[in-house]
Amino acid sequence: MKRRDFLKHTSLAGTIPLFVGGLPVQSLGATLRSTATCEFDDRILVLVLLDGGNDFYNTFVGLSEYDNYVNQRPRVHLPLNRLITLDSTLPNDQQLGLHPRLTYFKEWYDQGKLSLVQRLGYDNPNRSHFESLQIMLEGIDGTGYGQVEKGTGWIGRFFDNRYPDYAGIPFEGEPDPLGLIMHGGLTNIGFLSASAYDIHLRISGNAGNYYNSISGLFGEPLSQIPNSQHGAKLRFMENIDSAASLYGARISETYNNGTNTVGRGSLGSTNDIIYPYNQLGDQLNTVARMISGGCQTQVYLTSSGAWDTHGSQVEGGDSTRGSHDRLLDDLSMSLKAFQDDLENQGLADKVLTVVWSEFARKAIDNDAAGTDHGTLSGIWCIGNGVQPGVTGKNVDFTDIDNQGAINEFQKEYDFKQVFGSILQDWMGTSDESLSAIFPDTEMNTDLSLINSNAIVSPECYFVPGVQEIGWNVGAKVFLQGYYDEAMGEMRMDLTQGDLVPSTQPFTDAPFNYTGAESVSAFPTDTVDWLLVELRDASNLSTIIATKAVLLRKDGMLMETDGTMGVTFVNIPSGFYHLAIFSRNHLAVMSAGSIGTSEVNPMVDFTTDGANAMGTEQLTEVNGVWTLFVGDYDSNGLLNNQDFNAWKRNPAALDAYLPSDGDGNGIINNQDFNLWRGNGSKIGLEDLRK
Amino acid sequence: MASLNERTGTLGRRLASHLLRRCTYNFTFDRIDSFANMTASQAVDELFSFPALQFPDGPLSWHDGSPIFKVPATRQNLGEEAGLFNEQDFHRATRLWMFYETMYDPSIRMKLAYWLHSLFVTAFRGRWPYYNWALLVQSTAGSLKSLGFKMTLDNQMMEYLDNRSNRKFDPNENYAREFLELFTILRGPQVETGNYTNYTEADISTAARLLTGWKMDDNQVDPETGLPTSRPEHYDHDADPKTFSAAFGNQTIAGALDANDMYRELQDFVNMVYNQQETARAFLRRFYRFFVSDVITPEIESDIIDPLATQLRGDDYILEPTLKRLLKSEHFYDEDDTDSSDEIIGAKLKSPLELYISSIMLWEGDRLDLTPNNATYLRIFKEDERFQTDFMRDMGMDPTGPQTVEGYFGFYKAPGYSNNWYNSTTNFYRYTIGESLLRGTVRKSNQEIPFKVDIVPFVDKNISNPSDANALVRELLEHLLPEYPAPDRINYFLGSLLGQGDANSWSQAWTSFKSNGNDTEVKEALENLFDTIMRSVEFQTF
Repeated sequence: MKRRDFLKHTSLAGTIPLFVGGLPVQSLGATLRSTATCEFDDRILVLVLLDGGNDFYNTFVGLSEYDNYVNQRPRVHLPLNRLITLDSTLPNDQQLGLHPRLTYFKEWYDQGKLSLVQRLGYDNPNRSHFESLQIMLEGIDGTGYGQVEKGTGWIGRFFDNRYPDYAGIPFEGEPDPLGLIMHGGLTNIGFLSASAYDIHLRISGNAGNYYNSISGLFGEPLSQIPNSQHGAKLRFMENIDSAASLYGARISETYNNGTNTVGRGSLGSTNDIIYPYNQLGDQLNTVARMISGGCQTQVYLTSSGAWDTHGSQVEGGDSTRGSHDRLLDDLSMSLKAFQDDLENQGLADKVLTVVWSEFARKAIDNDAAGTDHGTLSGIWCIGNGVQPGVTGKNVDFTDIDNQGAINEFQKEYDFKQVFGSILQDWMGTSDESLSAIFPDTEMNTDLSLINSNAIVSPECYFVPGVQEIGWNVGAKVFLQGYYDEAMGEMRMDLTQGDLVPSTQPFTDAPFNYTGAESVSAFPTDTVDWLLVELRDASNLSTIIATKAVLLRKDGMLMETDGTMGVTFVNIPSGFYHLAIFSRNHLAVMSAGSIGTSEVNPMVDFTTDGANAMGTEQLTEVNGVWTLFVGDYDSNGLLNNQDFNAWKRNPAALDAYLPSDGDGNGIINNQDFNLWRGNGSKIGLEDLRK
Repeated sequence: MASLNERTGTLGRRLASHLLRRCTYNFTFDRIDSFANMTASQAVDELFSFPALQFPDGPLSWHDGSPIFKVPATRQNLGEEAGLFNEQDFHRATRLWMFYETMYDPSIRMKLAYWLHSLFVTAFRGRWPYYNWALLVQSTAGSLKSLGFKMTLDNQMMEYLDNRSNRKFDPNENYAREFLELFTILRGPQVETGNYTNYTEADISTAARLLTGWKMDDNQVDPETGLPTSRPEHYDHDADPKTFSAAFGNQTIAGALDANDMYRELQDFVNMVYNQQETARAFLRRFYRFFVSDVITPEIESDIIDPLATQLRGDDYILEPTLKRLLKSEHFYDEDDTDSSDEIIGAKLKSPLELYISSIMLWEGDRLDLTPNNATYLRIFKEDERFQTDFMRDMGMDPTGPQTVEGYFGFYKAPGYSNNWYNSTTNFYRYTIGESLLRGTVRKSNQEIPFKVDIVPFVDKNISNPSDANALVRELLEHLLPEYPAPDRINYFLGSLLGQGDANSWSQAWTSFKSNGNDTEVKEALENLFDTIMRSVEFQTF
């Protein structure tokens, strides 16, 4: 074990520290993609919540406490001779007998695939279902106080820490939602983070139809969004809708491409291994199929309901029968089907399944042959990567509180420690990150839940790359000459005449840009190529990133695939100006700087001459602002060199030349007149080539 | 400079609908048009004139038509002992009543009540939710200071934040902490360990001691509100003097001499906290974010928040004068600078409540019938009410149990504030409201909802010249969207009405419908337009 004690943080400030070093940072996605020696990048965590409070003590019975257990539970205790002994080699105070339904749990244990932690809880246990669940998902304790940001959960903080610049959209290496909740009604608090974006989607029902259910639901995007607070809201929603569509398509695609090797059926109707037709069986069936289909979601939350066994937990004079027995039957069959399905498909090595509940039941039973809300509980880890064994002693059934629950001070392990160990040893989370995820937690004991073949070694711990991000900037420009006053948009003669090269045209001097941007077919309404640069706000001559993009007839810049705006990947967060170059116009730069914290900012050069830096760098044409035409040698100055450039081909048809100032594919005196009209205009010094 | 100068002149449709969207859930095309002819002052005064509630004594029993919630609020008095109602019934009845009053109250009252709920957050507990909401609704015409006092003693709050178990020898700081951190003065920057600028950790402990000794009570009634309240128990109260930190000028509040004096001591504490300008500012910021905009710039802080905070404090926290001043101001209508369309108008996302209820009201969906004793009432009570709650929860706002003690993300969570209503899960539910209203059923569960929209009669009644497709779309959008869209966007909406046809074919279809009464063709086209508007991002803003 390599993890040191969790660090104690005393304030929220600095919970997401900046890190240097660590893995090479290539893009938002590449920040955690492993090197050859660190292969843990496809790890998946499947959480199975037993909603309602599983009676842990009738699931795994402490044999060392058997007589006391019987005394406390005259009605619901399980008969000794029906229990399955887990492992007779364990110390006496960890000897456990399993409910007779749990033959698969025994099988997994014997195969080295099951680990149990007991005497598990949190300080000041809360006995309300919702609140206890919320406490466990938020990663706090029962006093309700922690240094965690209110309204965030540990899964959310885990992702927030790992992808601090997550922009709510698929990114390189992570085409799928980071987290998926597989159940419609369940609280999503565990997945909430301080980020502006949800890191999870919630799906219920048929994942194969998910995309159908949302596709067509969103209205058509606006072609122009007003530059106002109202407009900012519209843009915000359109981005989310587009992410939902992107993710939605993947969800259905991975589901439809995947397979299940284990069938489905009704419990009790067959002796075969089946996914039971039930809440949990359905969800795990879907998860297995999506994983099989290539879904790269990292955390799934599934749940099974009705564990709140206040009454008729046992029935009919046989305490191994009753509602709890049926629940365990469903649980163990669902898990068995899932595990077998993964193993059959060679997927089991990358999946860890964790089964837990918001609390266990009281030590005592009640008159209705049931049990009421208790305190401490247990948690199971199942999978090929598990370090098998039992952690924690059997609870002492003579030490109960005045309500008949196990005395909360018998707690040996905190659930945050279990989740923290899993995040570290299974998901490669560093100590620093753990202290950001569970900031007020101080725990001095390591848990060995992951075996030596699967454990992530410390040199492979993921280092959050806060300094590198992906960022989409919207921009709008009109090109003088190209702009048709009557139409109120730019002419598309060049693309319509099939004159525009399919590969970006800025390869030659003075641009010498070597990017590989190309298209197979131009998106609708494409006018021409443009070149854009991000300039460092503190040093305008410093070029941070360069991209060739397409110009649409309404002035909007788009990527070669037609997505709006310019997406920069792999840039440092900071403040920038956006510069735009055309082959035949004076380049412009945004007057204001834009911070990368701004989500999908929009730079509009068409509404106001002052939007371009410098003195009169835009010219007004019939109420809109356009880039000065006539820079036929693309050097940032209008002078006789441009005339010479024009003069070389003063009359050409079907041409794609910089001297075609009006972009109609014809070089003639119109282009000369355009150049002459702009006299000896001087472009911004920082943009001259 | 942001200006609180009163806006003069009549409002016109755009600003009238802005005011109505922000201040009430209940507005129709007619109402927008009537407000359009008013000045800001007339319109705001109208919104602050509160008619009697639809059910002033709360929800009625389907057993005998009498009010379900009585005082004193004993189990016996409420029919719980006799088995007439259980806790679930109490919750359902309260939700249904809230929903009904919210839908049909034409004033700003219910919007203010939700705002007050977002200030003093609780979740439904036992048989107390109705009384908690009755206190909120009453307080809309009163003062925030009085609410701060009475909410502290509210039974539901007592239970929700554990002050009922805050005793002299076993103090529980939960309520004291939230009272300062979340409800009133709010936490400022931590300047050193345990010092949050506006108060300290020691102040929390001192306040907790001051708040010891109150017990939930079935029989106790507040004579001012007529609502159940807690009772003081001096034996469990810490009667020592309480000295607060420098943040409160090192004030000392004398310990209560007896149970009755505990009211005085609590009032001294409330006075101390409310005397701080920062408390008034915190309330104003939260009002601003709820009613005006998610964005508070330093300029707005100095020109709007601070002067209004001074006024609110000067008025002893009576809400009406301060709020009216803001809602009548040039600033509220974005007319305090040269660009009157870059801020505020349409600059927030509708909460689920705003989206759902204003959709029903704007499109004139069927009216809920809550006449007790009829079969519909019971069905609404047992089934449809459930749907409202589930549906609201799916959209991220369950009024019976906020996500956290801070309330609803869409109201408090920086930096996005109202953006938090909208995510890849909630958008699905938001965009299916339209089809639900048309079909009268929900997509998810196929359950019935009682607010069916009948689009053809709606258009016939509300649109001046329905046979003119362009004018029809224009008039609809002017009433329904915060800002009138750009020409190509109007064509998008128009296209959804016309389909493959053109304005002429629409005109013929409408004329033919008017002459022969066969609405098949126009209905399909109008439903298409309706659906397109309901699924537009513009309609999500307000």
